[in-house]
Amino acid sequence: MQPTDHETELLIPLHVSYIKALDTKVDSLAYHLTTHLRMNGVYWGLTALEIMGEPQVLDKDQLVRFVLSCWDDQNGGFGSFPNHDSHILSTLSAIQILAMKDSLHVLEERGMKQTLVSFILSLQTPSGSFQGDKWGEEDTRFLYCSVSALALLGELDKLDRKRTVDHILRCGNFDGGFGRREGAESHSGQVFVCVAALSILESLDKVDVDKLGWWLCERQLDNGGLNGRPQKLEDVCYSWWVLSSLSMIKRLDWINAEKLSAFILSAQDPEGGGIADRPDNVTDVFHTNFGVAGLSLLGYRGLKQVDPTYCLPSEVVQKLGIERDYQRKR
Amino acid sequence: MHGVKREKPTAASEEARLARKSKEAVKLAAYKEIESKVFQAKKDRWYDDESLQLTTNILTLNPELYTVWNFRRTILLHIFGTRLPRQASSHDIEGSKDIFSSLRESPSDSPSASSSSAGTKGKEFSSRDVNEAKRSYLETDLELTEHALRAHPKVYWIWNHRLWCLEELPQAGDQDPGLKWKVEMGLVDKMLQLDPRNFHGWDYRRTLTSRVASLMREGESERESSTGIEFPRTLSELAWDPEVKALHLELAKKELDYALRKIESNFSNFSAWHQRSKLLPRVWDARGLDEDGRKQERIKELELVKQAMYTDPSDQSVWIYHSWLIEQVPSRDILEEEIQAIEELLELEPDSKWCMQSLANYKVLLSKFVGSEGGEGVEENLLSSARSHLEKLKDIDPDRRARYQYLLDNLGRGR
Repeated sequence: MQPTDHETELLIPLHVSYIKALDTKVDSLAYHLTTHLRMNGVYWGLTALEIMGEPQVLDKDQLVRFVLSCWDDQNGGFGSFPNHDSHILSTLSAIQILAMKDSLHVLEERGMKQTLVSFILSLQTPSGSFQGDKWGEEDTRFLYCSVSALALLGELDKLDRKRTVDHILRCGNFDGGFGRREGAESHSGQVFVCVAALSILESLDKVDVDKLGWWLCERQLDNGGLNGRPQKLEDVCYSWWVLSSLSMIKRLDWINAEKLSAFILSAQDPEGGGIADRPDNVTDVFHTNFGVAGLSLLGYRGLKQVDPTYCLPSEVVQKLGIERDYQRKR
Repeated sequence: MHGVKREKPTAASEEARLARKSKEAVKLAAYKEIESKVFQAKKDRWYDDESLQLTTNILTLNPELYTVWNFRRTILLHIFGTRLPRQASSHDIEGSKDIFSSLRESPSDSPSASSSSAGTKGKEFSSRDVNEAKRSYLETDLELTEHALRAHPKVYWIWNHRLWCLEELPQAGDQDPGLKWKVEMGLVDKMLQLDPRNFHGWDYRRTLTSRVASLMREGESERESSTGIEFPRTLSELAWDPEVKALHLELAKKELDYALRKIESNFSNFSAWHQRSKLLPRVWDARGLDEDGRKQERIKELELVKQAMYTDPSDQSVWIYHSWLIEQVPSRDILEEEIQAIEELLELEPDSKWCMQSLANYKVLLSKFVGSEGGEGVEENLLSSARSHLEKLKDIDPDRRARYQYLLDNLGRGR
């Protein structure tokens, strides 16, 4: 068999049509079984399209309308789908979509902004951690979502920074990484959220970057892919969590970029489009986005630059004036 | 999708796909019907047994619907707070029937669901009846979530709901108030037997332990206020009642033993090593060990690590843990002993990158002692040996070449 293009090239037109088609599958069971992730899904799809230089594929007005239709009047945040409860996971995605579409002003125009900021701030507990909603689950993911959302809204001043930073540092571990909460094991995804939140809060100087960098670079396996924890399998989404963390602590060259690029490309579906967690697996929009974003951070030609702190196109972050320091592959 | 293989479409599977599609259409219609009923009930604030049953139906099909778990808790809180169930109906959830019949035998007759409120229920039922009814509902949910977790051990929302149920679960009679948490530990054990690295399981285990620990602290609420320090940090930071201190120490030792058993059955269980790293320093604090006492404890722990190192020198879990033990407070004799042991292992495994990394690291650390105590030649030897390990690492582990170069560039600095 001849080597196929997808082993060496990012199949941009195919991925663009794959993402475009997701929105037309409204009569499938899978579409209805994933409404709890729809807002995130739209953010993943749109971000991938933006980085691939095809943002116009999704209609701006329709996107803004969808986001607004998920406003939770009772609790004051965004849900994942109309009539679903607000949660910080969908709230950050909603704000990111508006930011990419240069539409954050609609929040003010509709009188939602102050309610939204209060909703986010209400999630912080006295110890500094963040809940995802009023039901009480605490996780550093929710802390990151809140901090990132406040930064995008230009409302970071309202946050108790010290309490927040102290909590993140308490979630640090013996291996240099971070976990979901105090006492929890290090995990690449949690490392990303903690490092990015510390970066937004200008407190990365409190991290032992050489130790953390060591743990992160040991996530790369011989096949080029990255895993989330020791002795686990590689997965395209960790290309993003590990790589963006390495970029923020400026240790991007501590892994083999060529091998990682090749691994991400090998997880493409050359027929149906999209990127999977691993080669030959079923693709989804989550892995498609984090694969494309990873390639962008690795300097893959023809892609727009992604910002590792916010996982948004760099130009969006620059325009808002909230960019933080990081390292990019040239 | 994680870990689902892609199938190539073929003529045969195209036919199968069409058949699947038509089957799916039927399922979809059924799903949409339940979904619309649930969301309508939520919108209408219909907080009764019928709505509860609707949430059971849809959560069984899709346990990821966090909004419906929220709705379910809202219904339950409403039922607990404003009324007791009037009578069993045909769609009652399993397990709640006994309590309904016992309630019907209570002195006053069935209160009206619509008019009774938290203020009136005391007149109609004893608090024991209320607790029994609450238990019955919550036990149903514990069953529901146990079932759901078996099929979906990594869905955050199920774990959350289960924890909420346990928090709400009143104790039966004069039962030990910690019993529910201890019983729950059995479930976590099963989960961690199936997947000893499931971080939900480990996190949940830590949560349960911390609840048990809270109950040992007299005069405090069952769920500590969020500003409160939780176990195992209590071992380091609280002013101690000696009795509580002893109980918390015992608890920590039990957890250390549990982690040890996991390690003994598989040295590569990083989650278990992690758990030990979280508990050991707390135990040392609680025992009031001075630096020398801590050093003796670290030496004991290094013995355990050594067995693991020899079992599988390529296992990074062990080496990362080893470096943590060494780096806390580096000491000359420990460094010398460990370097010697690793050199011996390297002779057996000449290409072991983990041996070489550790040797490079520890030799640099040792050089600082030697340097401060005179003996320039020895120091230079250590550094040059570290340098040659790092040079070799650049060849045998080229993916991480840049890190080894960085270490080489910084070698001997900061003295």
